[in-house]
Amino acid sequence: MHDVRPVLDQLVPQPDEDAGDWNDVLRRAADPLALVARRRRHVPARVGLLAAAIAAAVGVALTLSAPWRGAPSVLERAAAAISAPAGNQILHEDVVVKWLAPHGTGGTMKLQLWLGSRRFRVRKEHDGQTTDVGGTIGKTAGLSYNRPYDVFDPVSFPFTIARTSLDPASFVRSALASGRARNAGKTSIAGRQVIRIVLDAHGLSPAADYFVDAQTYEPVRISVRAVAPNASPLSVPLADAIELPYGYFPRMAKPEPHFLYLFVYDFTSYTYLPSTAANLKLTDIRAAHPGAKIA
Amino acid sequence: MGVSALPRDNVESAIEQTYRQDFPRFLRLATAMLGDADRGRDAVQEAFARALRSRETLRDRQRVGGWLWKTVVNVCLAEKRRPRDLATTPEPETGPAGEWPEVRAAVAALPERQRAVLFLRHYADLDYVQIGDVLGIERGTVAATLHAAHTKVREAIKEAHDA
Repeated sequence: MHDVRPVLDQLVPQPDEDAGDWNDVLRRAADPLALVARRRRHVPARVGLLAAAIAAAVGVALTLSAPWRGAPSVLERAAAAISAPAGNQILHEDVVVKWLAPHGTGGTMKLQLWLGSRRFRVRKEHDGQTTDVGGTIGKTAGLSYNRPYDVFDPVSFPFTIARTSLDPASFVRSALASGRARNAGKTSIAGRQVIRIVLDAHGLSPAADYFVDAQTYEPVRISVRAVAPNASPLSVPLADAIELPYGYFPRMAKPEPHFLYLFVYDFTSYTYLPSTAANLKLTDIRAAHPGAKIA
Repeated sequence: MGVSALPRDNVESAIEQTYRQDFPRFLRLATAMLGDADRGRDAVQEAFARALRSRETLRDRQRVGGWLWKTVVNVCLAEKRRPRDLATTPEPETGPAGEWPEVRAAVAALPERQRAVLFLRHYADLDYVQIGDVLGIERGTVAATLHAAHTKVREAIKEAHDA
């Protein structure tokens, strides 16, 4: 009988180093958005779902009971402007996401979402790179288009994709519909008249400001100060978290200031498309890249 | 769904203490799972960073150890599944290339769970109960799975000796 241990020891010897770099761990913990940059050292072209997961930070603690102080009609009209798409409609969102890290660095990305009843596709432009990820509603597996090689890389998401999981406005819709929001009056953004709606967070972080067009009530901006979400292609077990657009987001009673990011989501388009063959193709990553095969 | 009852500093200090005490074991496990010491080190760093960020979710300090092993394993598994640059050289499944190619191939051919149990037992030095906690399986299943993995590895060792 051969003993396996000496052989296994030879396959993977004891590491020479006996201590890690705890300061590096702390740096990573404080700056999760740098994960993408760290990974690029290994993989120039890869899925950017973590970056897309920034959208999760617009998540607002939804277990609130703040008193309403504004006119309900404004809230109702704001809610109606972002009503959930009908079963045969395709929601198209075009969002510019900006963030500012606690230590002052920041970034910008552009997200486009096509969300159908069966399929979804997210296209992200960030840091000079474009990633295109798609999949099926109700599944945890999807495909990422790898442009340099014109192939699809299989990807697995850290949670089952639901329609609400991929709509950055879904939590706002829910908050408006259930009375966890208040009208904070008119203001302006880049010269545009908007109405500020405050989504409070009593005891739990994050809270957010939601701005809608003062005439049409369409979404203009979501602004939130929050800890970056944990959701990413790395499926860390989180026993106690809330699911929000693009991922899981831990509830925080009192987030430490040095963990808080500012996230700003500017909507340039929020449109319900009819369920035509051409529009359905927009939700299908394979149809978007017809020549590519699965790697 | 509530917020952790543990004081933040308590959990954070437990995570740091585990890191400082057991880093070589975490690194060895991650190196085995990813087949590369650099990637293994990166995975360990990332796993602990993520553990720090999500420490609010941990309720029981006594479970910090198992939770951290689980986190490292999950990060490694996700890292393995992550799309990679097609230009990079495919890495071996177990450690850097070298001796015992037959055994290396046998380990690489093991089902994912058998490989995980084998690595957690030999490289992380966890007992059956701890392994079961990390992988979410019963102690008896751990024993049976490890036995199956050992059998295949022993066959490969014998084959190497006989060659």
